[in-house]
Amino acid sequence: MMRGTLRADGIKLSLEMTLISIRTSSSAWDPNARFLKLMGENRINLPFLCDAARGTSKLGTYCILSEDTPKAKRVIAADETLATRLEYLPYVGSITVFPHNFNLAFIGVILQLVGQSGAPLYGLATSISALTMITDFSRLEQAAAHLARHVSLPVNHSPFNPDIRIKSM
Amino acid sequence: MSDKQLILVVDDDPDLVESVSMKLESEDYRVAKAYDGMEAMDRIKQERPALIILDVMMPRKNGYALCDELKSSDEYKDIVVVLLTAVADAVTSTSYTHMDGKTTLADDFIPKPIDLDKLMVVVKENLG
Repeated sequence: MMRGTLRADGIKLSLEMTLISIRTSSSAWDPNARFLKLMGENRINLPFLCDAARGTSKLGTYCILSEDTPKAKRVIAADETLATRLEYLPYVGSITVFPHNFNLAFIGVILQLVGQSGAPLYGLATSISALTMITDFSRLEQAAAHLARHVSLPVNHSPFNPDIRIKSM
Repeated sequence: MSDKQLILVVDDDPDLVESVSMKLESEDYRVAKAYDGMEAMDRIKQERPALIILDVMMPRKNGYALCDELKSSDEYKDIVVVLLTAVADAVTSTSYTHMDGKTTLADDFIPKPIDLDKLMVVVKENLG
């Protein structure tokens, strides 16, 4: 693919995070709701949230910052029923490309490029503007560099890494 | 060249930029987008918008700094600047306003989270 064939306004990378997955096959009790309530009560920010369902099967995938992970684990461990339902994957990060302009071809090409960079895909979500992929934190820079070689970005593009942090106190 | 008025939307949250842009386009405005203060200044020089919807907290150059730069420039001081702020309760007036201990010459403000209908009222009032 030639540089400039695909245009984007920006690429952003996250800080290091932990991915938390919650699978459930019953509608009787929703551990996702309990998890979200605990995170909210304890002011633990969720930079990534994706809720997928098929029939009665449900998969919630969430990211919290690595620095919040010990606190989140303590909070979750106190709820034994919830604690057994969670899987943790540490050292992940997100790469976000925007805007997708509701173009499925854009999403396909970006996924292909990230795949070519060797980065695994643990989570994927789109919003009104952004396509966000979860991969290994150690592979973020490599994936962003590969994307930047193939995607046409504005000349004065913002830095890829975050330089503002907002935290609920 | 189109006679539709051009509005520049500046925020580091791409979802906010997109939703505001869609609303403005549905109201027959042209829209330019930028995701930080430096990128916004490039757009302003290239396209000279009639109004700028400008977030306060952004990377590289924040909204206060960009607003100050525009309002102290003979070339750009007539561009209407509407600040987006989550601390709107602290705003006491819509011109020469004090926020967070800072003084800004912004023409108006819109509190976050944004009510798109109220946003359109502010935009139309300021563009006459």
